[in-house]
Amino acid sequence: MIGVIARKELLELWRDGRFRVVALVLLALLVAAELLGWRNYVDLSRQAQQASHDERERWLSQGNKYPHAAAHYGVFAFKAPRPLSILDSGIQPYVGTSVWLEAHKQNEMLYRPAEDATALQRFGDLNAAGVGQVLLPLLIIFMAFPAFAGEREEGTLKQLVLLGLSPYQLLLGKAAGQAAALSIVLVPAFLLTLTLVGVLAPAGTLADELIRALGFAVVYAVYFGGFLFFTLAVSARCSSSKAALLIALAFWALAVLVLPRFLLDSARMLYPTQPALELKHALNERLAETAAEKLAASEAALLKEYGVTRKEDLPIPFEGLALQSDEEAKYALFEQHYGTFFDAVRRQDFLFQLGTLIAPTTGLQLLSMALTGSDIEHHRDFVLQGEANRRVIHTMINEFMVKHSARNADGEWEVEAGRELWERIPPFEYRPPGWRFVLPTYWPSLGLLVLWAASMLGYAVFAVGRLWTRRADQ
Amino acid sequence: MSIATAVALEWSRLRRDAVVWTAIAVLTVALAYGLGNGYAWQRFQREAIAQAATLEQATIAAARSEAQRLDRLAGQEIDPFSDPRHALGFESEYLQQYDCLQPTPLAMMAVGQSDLLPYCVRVTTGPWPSFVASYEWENPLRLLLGRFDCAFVVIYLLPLLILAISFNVLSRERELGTLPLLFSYPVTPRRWLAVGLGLRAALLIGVTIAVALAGLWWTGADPTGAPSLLRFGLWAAAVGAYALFWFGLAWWVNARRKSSAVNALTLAGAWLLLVILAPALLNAGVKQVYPLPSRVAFINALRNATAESEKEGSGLLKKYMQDHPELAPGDPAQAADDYVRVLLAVNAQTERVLAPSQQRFQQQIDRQQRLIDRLSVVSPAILVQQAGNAVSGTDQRRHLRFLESVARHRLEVKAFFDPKFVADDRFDAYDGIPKFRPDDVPLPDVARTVLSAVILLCLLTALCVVMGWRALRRPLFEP
Repeated sequence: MIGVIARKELLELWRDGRFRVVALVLLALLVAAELLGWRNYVDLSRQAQQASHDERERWLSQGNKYPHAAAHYGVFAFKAPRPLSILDSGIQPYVGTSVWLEAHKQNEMLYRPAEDATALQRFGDLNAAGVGQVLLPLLIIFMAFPAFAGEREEGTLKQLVLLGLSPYQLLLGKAAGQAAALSIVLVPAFLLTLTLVGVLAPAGTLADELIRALGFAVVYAVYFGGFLFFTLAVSARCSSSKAALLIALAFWALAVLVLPRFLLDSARMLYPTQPALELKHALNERLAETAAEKLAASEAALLKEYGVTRKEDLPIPFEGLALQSDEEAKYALFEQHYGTFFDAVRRQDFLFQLGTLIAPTTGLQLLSMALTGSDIEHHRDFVLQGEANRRVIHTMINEFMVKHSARNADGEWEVEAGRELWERIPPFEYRPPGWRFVLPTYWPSLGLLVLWAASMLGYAVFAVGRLWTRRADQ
Repeated sequence: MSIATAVALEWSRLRRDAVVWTAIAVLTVALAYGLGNGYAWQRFQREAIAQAATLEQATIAAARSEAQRLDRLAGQEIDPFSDPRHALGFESEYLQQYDCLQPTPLAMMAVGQSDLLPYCVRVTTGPWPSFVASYEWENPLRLLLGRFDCAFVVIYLLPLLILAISFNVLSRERELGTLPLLFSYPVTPRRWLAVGLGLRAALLIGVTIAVALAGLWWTGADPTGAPSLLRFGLWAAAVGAYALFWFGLAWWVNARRKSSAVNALTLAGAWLLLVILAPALLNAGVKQVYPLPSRVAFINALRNATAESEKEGSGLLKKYMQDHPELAPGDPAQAADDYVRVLLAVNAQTERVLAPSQQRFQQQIDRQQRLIDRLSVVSPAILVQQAGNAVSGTDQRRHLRFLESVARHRLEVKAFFDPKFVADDRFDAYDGIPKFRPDDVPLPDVARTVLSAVILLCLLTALCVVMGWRALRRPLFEP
């Protein structure tokens, strides 16, 4: 019987010209968004690859020089997108695309693409995730709002009750029919995604990308399911289809538009960040103090160890040791400086995640970005890997200075490095984390999204059950 | 029936309409929250700008004090890179000048682009573009979603509330069976619908302007000062025209005599198309038509240019010297002069090589903006966003103009310091460093931007009204 009801629902929807037009438009939007995402991915990947290659060439061909001069020349690390960013570019336009790995400093990421965009950017990008988060729930509402209220208005609900149909059969039948109609839009789009990911993903990460794509499909399916059962429940509870439509639209506006911004702005009030200018000034002051203290301490320790009174009399090259000691002294300061900001953001985002129970779009947005590798945690991972590489570069250079410095005829320490050292220093190669990386941060979103969808299912069962009780009483 | 009687009759119905009062309550709360949020951001910026000014003064005071201390150590060898009596030392250790863009009195009305683009840029005389990021540290997710500010309430929520209270002005009467009774009075459908929607428009627009005005007063921004009053008047005109467009659309849809559910679906679809889809599609289109050059490719070109220029010069010893002057061979002062000369040449060459790339960015951004200006009529939301940002001084045009002034100021500071870097004269012209003169968008230009948006919105509204007027020629029901 459920199958019969589902087929009837699907047929009714299909016969409705408005549904066919809207479904076709949404499918076209999804396909267009994916193709734009694909083109963007190809461009960004090629640029990052080319720039990384050129940067390495410049590094290798810088010629013989004082090693610390090379340390200041540094290396640029370029961030390449992940294949699934064709679905959701997430925060990528709002964080930098490259970082300069130079001596003494952990620099900020540079050039946020959104800074080069016009004010229209604030209306959002056209991407598949946006279509899924904002527009598809509306399609669900438009499909499902008359499901029960319409039967009541047309007087057919009583007939269904008298047929001896169980309320749950009717609910599941209608839900299955609506889901089948929705799949007309979703299945082709998902197949296109799998094809593009299969083509774009490097062999080493293909399995991981496919697992992520599957996870992406599952969380969106849970979200759509929640919206579907919510709309069916409202349709069953309302006396008219007009009222059902208005209530469902009001919930959509709250969940999709209002609450995400409200929650994040409120989280910012609870966990504020200080002005960048103030943070940077405080860091620079502490860096200067720490560097001076550390330099003095290193010098004093070495003078004592070698029993001399001037650093010029040390039997070892002081500069390399001092530079390395300076680097190491600053590690903790940079970790604290950037860590404080990232931790504040993590706390803000955690509060945002908790909002999933009332506004499921919040949790979905985070999960979607995380699964496509376009969230703040993946960005932070890039920053940390870049910093790890910076430390390796400068440790190797400083160690080279200590090991290879020699006194010249005037008694001054001298050292020069060349291609042999530049080649030994490893290039920056970002290793993207696997799909499990998503879980420790976003389990509340996942759990609450499933809980919300289950609650909507429960609500629908309750609402349709009540419909039967009311009819039976009459 | 006279208009006054119709208004009195409709008002007596509206007074008991829970939907209308709920919409007004939601609008008031949302506007208050949005204004509070905008004010918090404006205060945050003001505090940061004040800190920048304090820092600048403090470092100059520190330079004077250090100069006096060093004067007392006559005869000792002093590192020129940390000596404030030398232009090199002052620039590298004590020049903490920030060029800042002050928020306008109405900045709290729209955060606009101000949370994304830099509002305080440190002046540097080194290579341009500098690798020192100037943007504010903000949760990128917040930048992606946008803020819950007054502009958000106006652009997104106000139309939804308008639609919620006006989608069934006529269809409700038909569905309740009271339509024939209503028109047994001597009133035409056009007049009745105009009175019904007009009253609702007056209520919602009035509440919006009143709450905004109260918010400005409460936060201490006096909107009665001449420039603020003009800005506020422009803002009110833009918001009023935007709201009237949505009431005009509701007039047209009501006049089509469909059911309430169909009206609601039609208006919701129009909102979706005009507020969500059209701007996103235009954004995607503009990027495809006038794509910006890649920033990654730009950095690549910059690194190439620097590497080439430095190969022509004497390498990267300047950075080495700045950080470790004690390691430089020979006379530090003479060595510094030599390196600085080389460095100035290298920087000039790098800037020359990069100038065409910089120009390409600017040209493409200008082209994108011109295309948006031409096509903004496709979405009233874009028109009101541009008008609101312009009035609040948080638009891209003002920020780009600010960044141009920053670039000019940098050149002035550079021209001031460059000759002094290689001169051995004592440097004490701390007060002579060129000051920043921000080049703001003149108020008449702001007014022009806003008024052109208002005119376009009025034309769109007129179109809706005419379409509705024509649809109402047919009788609403068969007697």
